[in-house]
Amino acid sequence: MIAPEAAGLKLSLRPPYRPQALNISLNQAGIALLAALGLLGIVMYVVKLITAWGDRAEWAYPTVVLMFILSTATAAPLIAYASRMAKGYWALPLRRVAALYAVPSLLSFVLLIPIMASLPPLEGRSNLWFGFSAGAPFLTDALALAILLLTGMALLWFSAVPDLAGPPSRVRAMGRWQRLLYLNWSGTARQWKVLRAANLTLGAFYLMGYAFVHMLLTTDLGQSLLPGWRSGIFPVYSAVTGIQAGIAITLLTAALMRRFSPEAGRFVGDEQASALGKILVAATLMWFYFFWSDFLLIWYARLPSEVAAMQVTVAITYILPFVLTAVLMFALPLGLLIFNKVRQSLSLIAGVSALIVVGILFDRIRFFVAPMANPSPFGHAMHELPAPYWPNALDILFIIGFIGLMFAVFVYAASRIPVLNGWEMRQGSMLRKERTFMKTHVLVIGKPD
Amino acid sequence: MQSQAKRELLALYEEPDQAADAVERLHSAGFDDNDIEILSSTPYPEGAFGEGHTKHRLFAFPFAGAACGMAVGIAWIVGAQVSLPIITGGKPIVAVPAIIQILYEGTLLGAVLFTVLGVLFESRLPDGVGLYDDRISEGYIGISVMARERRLPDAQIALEEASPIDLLSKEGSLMHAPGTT
Amino acid sequence: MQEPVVADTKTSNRELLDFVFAWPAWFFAVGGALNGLLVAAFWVVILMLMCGLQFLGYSHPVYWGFLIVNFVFWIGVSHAGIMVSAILRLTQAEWRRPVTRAAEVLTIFSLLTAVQFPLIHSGRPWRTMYWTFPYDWNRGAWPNPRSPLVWDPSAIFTYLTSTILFVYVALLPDLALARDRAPNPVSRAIYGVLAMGFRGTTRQWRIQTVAGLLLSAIILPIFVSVHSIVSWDFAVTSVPGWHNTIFAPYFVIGAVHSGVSAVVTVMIVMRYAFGLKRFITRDHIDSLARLLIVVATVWLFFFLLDFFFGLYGTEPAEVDTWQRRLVEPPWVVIAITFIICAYIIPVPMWMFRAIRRNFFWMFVTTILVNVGMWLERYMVVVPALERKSGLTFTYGDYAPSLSEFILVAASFALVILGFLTFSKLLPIMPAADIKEGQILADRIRVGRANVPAAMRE
Repeated sequence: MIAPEAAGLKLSLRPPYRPQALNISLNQAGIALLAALGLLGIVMYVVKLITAWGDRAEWAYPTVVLMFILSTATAAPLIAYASRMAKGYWALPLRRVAALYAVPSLLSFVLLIPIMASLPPLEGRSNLWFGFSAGAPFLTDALALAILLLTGMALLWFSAVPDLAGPPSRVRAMGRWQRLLYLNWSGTARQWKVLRAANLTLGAFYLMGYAFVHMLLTTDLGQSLLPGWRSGIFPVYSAVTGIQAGIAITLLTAALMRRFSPEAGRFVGDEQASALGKILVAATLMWFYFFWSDFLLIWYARLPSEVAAMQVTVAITYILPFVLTAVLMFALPLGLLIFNKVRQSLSLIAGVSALIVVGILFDRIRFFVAPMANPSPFGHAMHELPAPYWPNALDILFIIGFIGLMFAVFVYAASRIPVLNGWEMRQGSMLRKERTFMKTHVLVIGKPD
Repeated sequence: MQSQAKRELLALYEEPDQAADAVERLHSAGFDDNDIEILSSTPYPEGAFGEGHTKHRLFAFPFAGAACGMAVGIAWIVGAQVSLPIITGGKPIVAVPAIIQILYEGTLLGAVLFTVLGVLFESRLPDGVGLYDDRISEGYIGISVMARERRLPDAQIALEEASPIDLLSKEGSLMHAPGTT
Repeated sequence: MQEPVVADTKTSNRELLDFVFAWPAWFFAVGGALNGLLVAAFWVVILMLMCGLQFLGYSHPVYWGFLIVNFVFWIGVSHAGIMVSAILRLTQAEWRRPVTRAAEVLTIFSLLTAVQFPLIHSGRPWRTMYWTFPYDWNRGAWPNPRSPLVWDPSAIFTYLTSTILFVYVALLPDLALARDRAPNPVSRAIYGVLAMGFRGTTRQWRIQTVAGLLLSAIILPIFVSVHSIVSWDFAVTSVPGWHNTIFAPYFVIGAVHSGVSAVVTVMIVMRYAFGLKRFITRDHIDSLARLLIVVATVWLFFFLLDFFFGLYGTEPAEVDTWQRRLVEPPWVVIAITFIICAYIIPVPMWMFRAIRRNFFWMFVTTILVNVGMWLERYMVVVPALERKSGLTFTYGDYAPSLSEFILVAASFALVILGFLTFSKLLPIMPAADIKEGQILADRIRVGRANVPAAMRE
């Protein structure tokens, strides 16, 4: 049984308790470092815009960063949605943390625009648009991503309004538009009902949008630029490994929250590690399953065009990032996560999560650098394997800066919106109690319809 | 020597709380968890009767089984391929990607087989020795205690104080029917 | 959350064992009819062995017809049992309790039925032994483990063995219950031997709980591998329409879709046939229907990925196959029927709570799903083979024969008969598990509301 302290049962969540946003200041070393990295990211982005507009190879590593954001920050809010769907109360203290990653996800759109501008015409290369010409892929991909990001923001905002709005008198005193923004919130039974339905519906759309965007971007920025690469499983691989990394980044954030923000961190503990740890094991196994389902078919059928593409992403050209991916996203995490001790300790599982987050960066390198840097994306097969395109100093600074910017935006968002979902936690605390059953103690969990 | 032999008593209780009470009384009378068995037709949360944590090594069995399954898998796959070295589909004689499927299945089959063996071993099955009564499957809780001959009265008193509906030994019921002496 | 089943232990025992110890007349009537179908199928197989595969209507280039479609279909149905049982155990979903055993038993008999079809299809079933097992020491003819046709038996054998053992371990307490309640000494002795002296000690219950979780965790990867390997029978080839990397997860999720639907169908039949109205409630089918909405939608997404990435390279052979599947008659009719049955009708209906909680509509929609999924497998297998490739010089037309229909009908008969026989001999609902649910059921008061709750250790 999870200790009552870890489950937050001993903590009073009744009013006047209100969750707080993070209190940050540039005087704090970590915050200052993040701010500096964020600034570096912005500078590097501007430098790229000025010096490399339209040069596809130059945007290869920014594409890696784009896919990294889509696979970590954009995936994290799914935890909030899925746990609501499954009535997993263990996730209550993590739902807002996960949902907050919708804010740094917005950076992916900023990256997408110049990357799309560097793509060659669709004619003469394999693609998913089959002659559909209404702005594909530029408008379509941008639109799909924009809808996904807006849905994520709506999910975050709707779930945060009850915590942000304050008492009804405050909302009534707001201006018309501000009142609308705050959904005219006064906490009536009807509003709560609508809010819960909205959260579930938007969550379902977010999940579908997430899968759809992965299908579009993995094809338009990946497969269709590397002749011979035709893999129906790749979009799913990308989405599922994204969820693996999304879980990892949420656990990592939870561990940091516990370490550096005692006010919010006291609610986060081994219960969350234990529950998310099981899902992380499943997601880690999924990495191998989807990789293997892809690899085996190409290896077995031995069609030269497909084999060449596999040689680029796995066996020859980008073998180093592949090996690092396999070790960091599969072998090491699985080897560690099978132990209960690791899975049930937030500190230990955060270490494993860090490996996965680094691993997914290498994974995206092996998949997206080769297509973006491929000088001849036309045709149905490669005549020779392209040379590896390793990052230069600017690329490395871009990667570090932009990922730093992603975390800086997250921290900023967490300083404006409480990192705990107060109303859901209050509801959760009403539906959980510890009691004595015969001669033992049990946890009682209520699950209303 | 006879006084050293252990005998078993089985008391049946209508209510789980009575059974828990009996366990407590047995503990107070100096019997430990190794002497006491709680029999029920359904699992209760661990510790509900005041019994201690059940230690077991079931988690070790699948690992051992997986290792054996993998070893057997490797032996027969590699053996079969080397014994009939015909190249098919341009693949090497011992083609690792192609044989991983069978290795995988062998490994997991080994894990399952050993886990089931582990279940029987850790459950102490087959078991045809202990006292039992059909009424347990009707919802009554059985408390069985193993006691040396000289401690048998202590056990009987502890069990009876918790108001059982019946008290059994190997010879039959020790409780008098109402109205008899 | 679902309301727990409310019944005292004696009533639960009586109702759960009622069918085991009773001999209703309909059991003999239904059993007799099913056996009649099996006898007919037996004669078809004998004739086929004597005349060859052309007796079933096969000729070059289509040698995989109903038999292989049926094999894939039943492997698919078999996926429900373990998926439902293992995942719900691991997630400690309270509503799993009455569902798990039936689902697991469905797995066993679906698998056993599925295995018959490649054996029959081989034309010489006895030879399959040395194609798959390395036992022919004297002749030096060894199986080829590089072939997916050897991976298949190894996966199915593992899955079948594991499922039987999984069911047996979970059955031990119920065998003990059957032993205690058996009406005569012979059945008491048989149940007694099978129960191995299970007495329900705290240790035995503890091991039961841990074993349930442990075996679930081990069997889940097996379950995923089985249908993946079946899909690789097709996908590792370079046959247009089959060679797509999405095939493995597409087959697995399709199997779950069809399997969970079959579980719902079976549970609704059990509810009325075995008098289990107290144990199979609207809450159970509601929960399964919610699960089905998610599964069906993922399945549709994977189907679309298969379609898109089939056309993606615009290679003439692939395009030709998809054109045959989706545009040319009679395939277009089958394609429209399958997508309507497997998704367009059931999923929108399941969105409504009233439908999800209605036994009649759930019965109809889940049957529709399996009609659709059978047709889907047919559409995957046959059109890809029918395509005339450059090096095909002899063409025969393929149309399903009466014999094939008999074999398909017999496969349903075999699964139903197996399930019925199991239910006749052993408790089809995990009595101990259901009773545990009653013990762990609790309530939490929030204001005036009394919310159903469950205790967790």
